[in-house]
Amino acid sequence: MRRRHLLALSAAAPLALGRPATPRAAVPPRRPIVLVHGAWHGGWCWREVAAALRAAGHAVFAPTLTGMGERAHLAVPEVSLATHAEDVAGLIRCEELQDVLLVGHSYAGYVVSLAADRIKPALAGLVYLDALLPEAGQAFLDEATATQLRATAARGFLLPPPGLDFFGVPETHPNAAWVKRRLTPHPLGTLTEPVRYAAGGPAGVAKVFVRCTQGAEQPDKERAMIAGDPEWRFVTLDAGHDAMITAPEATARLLAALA
Amino acid sequence: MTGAASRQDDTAHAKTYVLVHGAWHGGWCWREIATALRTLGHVVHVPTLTGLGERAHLVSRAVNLSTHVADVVNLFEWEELSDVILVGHSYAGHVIPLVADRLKPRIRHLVFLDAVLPRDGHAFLPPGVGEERAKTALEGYLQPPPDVTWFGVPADHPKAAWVRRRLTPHPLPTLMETVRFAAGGHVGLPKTYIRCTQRRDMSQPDPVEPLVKGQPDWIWRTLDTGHDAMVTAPDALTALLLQIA
Repeated sequence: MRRRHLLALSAAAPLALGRPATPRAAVPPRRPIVLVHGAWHGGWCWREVAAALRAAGHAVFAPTLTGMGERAHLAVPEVSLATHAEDVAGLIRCEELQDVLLVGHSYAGYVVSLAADRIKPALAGLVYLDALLPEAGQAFLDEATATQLRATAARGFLLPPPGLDFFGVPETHPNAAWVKRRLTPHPLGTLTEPVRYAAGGPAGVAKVFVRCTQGAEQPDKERAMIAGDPEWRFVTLDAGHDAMITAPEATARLLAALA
Repeated sequence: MTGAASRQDDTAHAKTYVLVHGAWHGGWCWREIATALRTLGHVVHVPTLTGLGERAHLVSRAVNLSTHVADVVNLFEWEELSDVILVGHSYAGHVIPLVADRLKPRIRHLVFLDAVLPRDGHAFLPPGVGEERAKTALEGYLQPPPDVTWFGVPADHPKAAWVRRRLTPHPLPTLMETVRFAAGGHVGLPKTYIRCTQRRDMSQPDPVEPLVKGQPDWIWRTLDTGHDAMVTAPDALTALLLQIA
């Protein structure tokens, strides 16, 4: 049922990015999709979305960023935004992916922007799923806030995960216990590094911002940032911040349509 | 949320595979196998071990066998995997029994693909060999990849160029750390050994066959291909992996 639905949507692709012309007889291969999790999460959070997208015929990669999830044993103070960007850029290089839809959730808006700077020719498009939009030259955290957080961080650099309400996952949700036991501390060094592009970052790549509307702050800061920019589109998803957890089918449907 | 229930119907017979690559390789080498198994509805994970493949930027002298075991153990923990068919190629024959040592109840079957069988109390390399190799290693600890023909991929094979450009240096400390089992390693688990019969040194007797063939907890299988069967014989290898009960 779901598989048919996804296929139908994907074929119709009302939101799809421009696809290179292919001979009429050839069935274009479905775009590979790389899903990048946000702070405190890991590749695990995409489990249901990845399964749905694979069932729809996409090659799907959901790397876990260094120091988090099943890579928690690699957490050291030196883990930086550059480390995370290379986690993603390296995957795209090593898997030799082309025509990729690169999706970043939440904090990973920073990661995919810097990764795009490194592997831009491999990208078909970028999706910012309720994500942060970096400004070139700026770090996510200012120095004063970073110093404050460092004082209370575990081992001086690991930020403990917040409560589930921060992610828009109700305590009564069937997946709440799953998320709670899988969240890992987030390495602070990734949030204090200014974003520096060598090739314009995400400029020149088609970009979609997906706002998860449940609990969204008003006014919408990111929407204002991209308003009027022809490289950007803005769409909404009726879900909380962790849409891949609370609305995996709708999230997969949307991503399949965008691919 | 009806996702969990509906997927159960789709995947009632689905198996879970974790495929662990060998030295100098990365998760990339399983591309065709992973795609084929996923197309049939199975859940497949192909972690890249720290310091290799797309994790090459994380390489350091601190990366050892324990790091690689943690890479796989933690994948089980965070993906909450159980009933897993755990496959190790080549060097990963040292990784998967140590994973089994810690997660035995969550493993359904171990598959050693043309892999090196570990011995408790021994390292992958005999004493002194690691130190000797370190003398010519990059930065004193990274062993450069050998030519693709060493992996049984003919130089004129259509995939030779792919493999050649993807191989990464291998951190020697992973081959020098002594294997220590706390719970018997792979003892007590059902196991398959897949021998790729186009061996590098055919003049020597197979060192594994006498240890494995005919043993009650082992199944012996062969593939008429070179060491990198996932590259040179992906269909035949996929078929063998699908036969694992």
